[in-house]
Amino acid sequence: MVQVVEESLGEVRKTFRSRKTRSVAWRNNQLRALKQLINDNEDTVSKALYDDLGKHPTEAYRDEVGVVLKTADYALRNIDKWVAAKKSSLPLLFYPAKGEVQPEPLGVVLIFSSWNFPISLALDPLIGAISAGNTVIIKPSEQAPACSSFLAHYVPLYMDSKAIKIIEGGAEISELLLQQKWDKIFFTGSCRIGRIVMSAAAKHLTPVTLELGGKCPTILDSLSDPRDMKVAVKRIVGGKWGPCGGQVCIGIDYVLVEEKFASTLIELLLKFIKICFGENPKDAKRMARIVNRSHFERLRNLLSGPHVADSIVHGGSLDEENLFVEPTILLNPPLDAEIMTEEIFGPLLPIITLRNIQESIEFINSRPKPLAIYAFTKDEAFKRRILSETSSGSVVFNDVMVQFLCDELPFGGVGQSGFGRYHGKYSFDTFSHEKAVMQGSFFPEIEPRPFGRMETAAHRYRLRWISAYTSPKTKNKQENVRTHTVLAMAIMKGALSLKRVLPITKITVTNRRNPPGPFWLPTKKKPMADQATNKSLPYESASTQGVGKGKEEDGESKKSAGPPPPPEKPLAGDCCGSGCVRCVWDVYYEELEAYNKLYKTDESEVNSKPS
Amino acid sequence: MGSTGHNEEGQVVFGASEASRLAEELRASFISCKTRSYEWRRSQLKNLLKVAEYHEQEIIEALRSDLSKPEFESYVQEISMVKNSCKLALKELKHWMKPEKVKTSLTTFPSSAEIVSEPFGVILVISAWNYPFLLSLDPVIGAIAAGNAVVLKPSEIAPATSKLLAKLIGEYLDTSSIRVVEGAVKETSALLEQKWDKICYTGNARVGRIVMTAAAKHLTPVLLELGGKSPVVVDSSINLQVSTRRIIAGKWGCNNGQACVSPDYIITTKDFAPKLVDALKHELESFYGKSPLESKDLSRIVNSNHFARLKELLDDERVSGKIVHGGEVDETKLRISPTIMLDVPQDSLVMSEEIFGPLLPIITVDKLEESFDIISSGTKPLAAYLFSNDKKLKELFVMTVSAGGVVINDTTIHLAVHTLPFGGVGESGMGAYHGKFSFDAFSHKKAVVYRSFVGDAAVRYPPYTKGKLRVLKALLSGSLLGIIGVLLGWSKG
Repeated sequence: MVQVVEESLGEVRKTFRSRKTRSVAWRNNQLRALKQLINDNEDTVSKALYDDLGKHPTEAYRDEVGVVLKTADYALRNIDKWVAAKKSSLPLLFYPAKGEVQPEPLGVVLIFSSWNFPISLALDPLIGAISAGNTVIIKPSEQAPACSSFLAHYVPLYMDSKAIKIIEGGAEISELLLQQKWDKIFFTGSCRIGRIVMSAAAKHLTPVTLELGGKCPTILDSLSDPRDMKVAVKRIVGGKWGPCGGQVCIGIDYVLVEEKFASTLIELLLKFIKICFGENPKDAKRMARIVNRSHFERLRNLLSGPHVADSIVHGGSLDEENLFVEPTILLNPPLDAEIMTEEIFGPLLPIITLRNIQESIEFINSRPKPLAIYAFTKDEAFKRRILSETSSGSVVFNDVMVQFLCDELPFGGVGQSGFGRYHGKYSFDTFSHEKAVMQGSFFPEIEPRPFGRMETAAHRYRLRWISAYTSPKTKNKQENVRTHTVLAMAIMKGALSLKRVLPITKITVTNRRNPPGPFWLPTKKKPMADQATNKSLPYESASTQGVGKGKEEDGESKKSAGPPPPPEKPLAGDCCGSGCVRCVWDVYYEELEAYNKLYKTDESEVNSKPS
Repeated sequence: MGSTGHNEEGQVVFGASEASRLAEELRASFISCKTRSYEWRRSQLKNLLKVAEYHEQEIIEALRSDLSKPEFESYVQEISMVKNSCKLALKELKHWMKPEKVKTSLTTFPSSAEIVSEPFGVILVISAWNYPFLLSLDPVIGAIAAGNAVVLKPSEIAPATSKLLAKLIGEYLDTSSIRVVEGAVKETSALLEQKWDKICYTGNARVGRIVMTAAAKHLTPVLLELGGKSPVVVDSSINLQVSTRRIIAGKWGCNNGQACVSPDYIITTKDFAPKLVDALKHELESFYGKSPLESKDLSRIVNSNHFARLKELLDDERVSGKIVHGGEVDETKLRISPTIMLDVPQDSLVMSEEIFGPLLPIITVDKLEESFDIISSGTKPLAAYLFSNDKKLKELFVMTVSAGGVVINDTTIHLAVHTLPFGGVGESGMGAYHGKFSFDAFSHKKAVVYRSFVGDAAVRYPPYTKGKLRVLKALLSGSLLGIIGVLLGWSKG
């Protein structure tokens, strides 16, 4: 067995390394093949589901076959959009760099599916994993053996068997699988196993998505309109006993209702149970059976608690031979009984009465976070309270389980109901790593980093400048915008003037001695762009071979300065570069500033420069 | 006790019972819904901003005492980053908190749906010593913005910053919901025993595993920011000066190589390597002078353990002959000069472990494409860098190399961009944060569907019939025409 696991893993890992699965064409082909597989074998699937769980073919289509086809279609329609890199806007500081988020496949994915929806819970995540370009090994639940062998038999016939493998088996094989290193583990099942899976994953630092269950409450407010009431109860009946006989992670676990309302509710429940499942649900074959003996025993135990049996108001009969449990309603079973502390996962529905429906929020909050909360109410304020004060994987108002059908909604739990999410685009994301990609170029370079001798950096205004520049435009928008404009101008100016002289290495705009305030203010009658370029000089000329460039700049500043001779510019070698408190350049700039103040330069000349 | 950091005795006695009491207190505070309000989040973020603004000098001093971090680095890479995160969160918070409307499918018509971001609950942040201020507060900002209660455990390896954080957070933030626990392994283990709603850990993969295993007990999701050997691939067709400067800034200008995104090794072609080494030498000298051991612009090695570890890497006899620059050490001051090694064997210690220090090995290859194999033969790094002007090579690099983040023609700057997610993959961690991604990392995305009582399709309910199956097929296929067709053919069924 170890060998099978290791060989399979080795093969799919090799396939992943071959980069074949990364091509969108491959992904599309596999998704189409999956659709083909389902379409060709719809009857076989239905039969397998009937064998394992006694699911009616319509139910099988609604909850499994149809869902898989819909998901595959959705993925096929959107995959081009998903695989494309998403552009991110970058702060101007990094101009002209490009930023994007590039999704990449994680690698080899292990999917543990569960027995209650043995087809869709195996193939739904598979669709996500394939669309994201991973190779996959699926371990279907051994508790639905017909479906497990269906998958093991048909998947390799239709899909790329070098990249997608099914390994059948029980706990033993799961353990072996968990010892291996995966790039992602996707698990659907119970909390207990979830913990084991996550602990095993921790050894290899493998990210996990856990889709667990929980006791999903349904809040039924007093609805004044009897028609609404009917619809609500009908939906509850459909949601509780319809899919897989209540063996659903997002199924209704219990109903919260006001005391005075309980009798109406029970009355209506009975009525709709009769309509939906007939007088004798056992023989009507419209409801799925219990998956196996151990779960049957578990449910029997739930019902047999000390005061639980007394609280049964309808049903309660168990057919051990056919593993069938009748739709059962309990009114106010003891809250500390197992039926109210454990997830029921079967066709038993406890009704808990409250004095006021508002109390339901506390009731829910005092228990672990469920996968879903359903609330039938028309009270908008109550809806808002439920939304903001409770926590659950999802919330549905006035219906049950429809969140499962929305491709645009993330499906996943929180707290005890798991973490991670899938469905639609979220499936793709779950199986992808979002790689941040930044593409810079060598030119131009405005450097906020500690280039050169850093003692100079102690001068706070330079740092301020950097922080003003890197910060999101918050405090002083105007100044910021101005900063950006001036710098952009400076860069362009610098680029144009320097390019002619030497192969550009970099332009560093450092504001070494001049406090930012006056420098940014355009009211100052000073050739800003020119000044900014000048500012780049001390560093440039001090650290690089900027002699020729220095000459050029020198000439330019003379031009802009007007008739009286401007202060003499230090030569490249004059500055020692060690950041003296009063550097030759400080002296020069002070003089230049004073000079510029006295002999204001021609406005038009200034404006024409940057262009 | 000790949670606010004022009481020094409290730190000593922080054990399991204190940890559980702390978790209970914070949970009670979270359940009171106080932390969910926009006003609370805003006020806490504003106060956090004040911490960074009013206590700049103290922070710089603390970092200097912990790491001899140059003021410039402290300011640019820690304080201003924290400030920017705060400002961004303050500016965008309302926008982030808004539920996101999404389309619903035909199957559930009529309905509306949205995704609501709700806080997880109580978050545990365990931070690292290399950027003790930034890596502590950046996740805290995200957690607060998302409306969580937070416990911060700063690294004991940077004691001054840890103490300062405990003091400042105690003074400025709401201590009923945000706490600092100082301490080392014992305290961390006590904290990890508790149930949290999300754990954010920054550090190494070994402890990452411990954290995740502890989290598994309570099914707690984790955000792991680990490290890895981040490669730099250098092509020959580049602007050498700019490239070397950027490499130096990313390597030695980031806490003297003790940063998770710092370049770990360089891969370049055989022909180009000597040129690159020369350029690196030249620029290193112009940055840090002739005696870099004395330079105030380089951080020191954090403690003697790490010093010994790096010394061991240096003293490996297969490596010591390959040093082409630097290699000087000063054990008393815990300083190691910027060191470049050329052509080290790939199975040497320095190439198999994350270096996390001022040593930079250079691997040479005949063709640059070989570098992809070298990179993918190791574990997935947190960052990968490429210097090249070759468009094809760039594309290939982005598509082939798997890493947390990829930067072309620069190093480490993706960290400063809040529009990019920052996080690892594989051995370099899981989950991402920064900017909006921080908010998302600490929020649960709750799916919400609103339905009305009208529009109830009979197909949903048993008894199941052939007709219902047909409608269902049409509905799920999503084609409107199909549905109409079926409905017409089966109008009174």
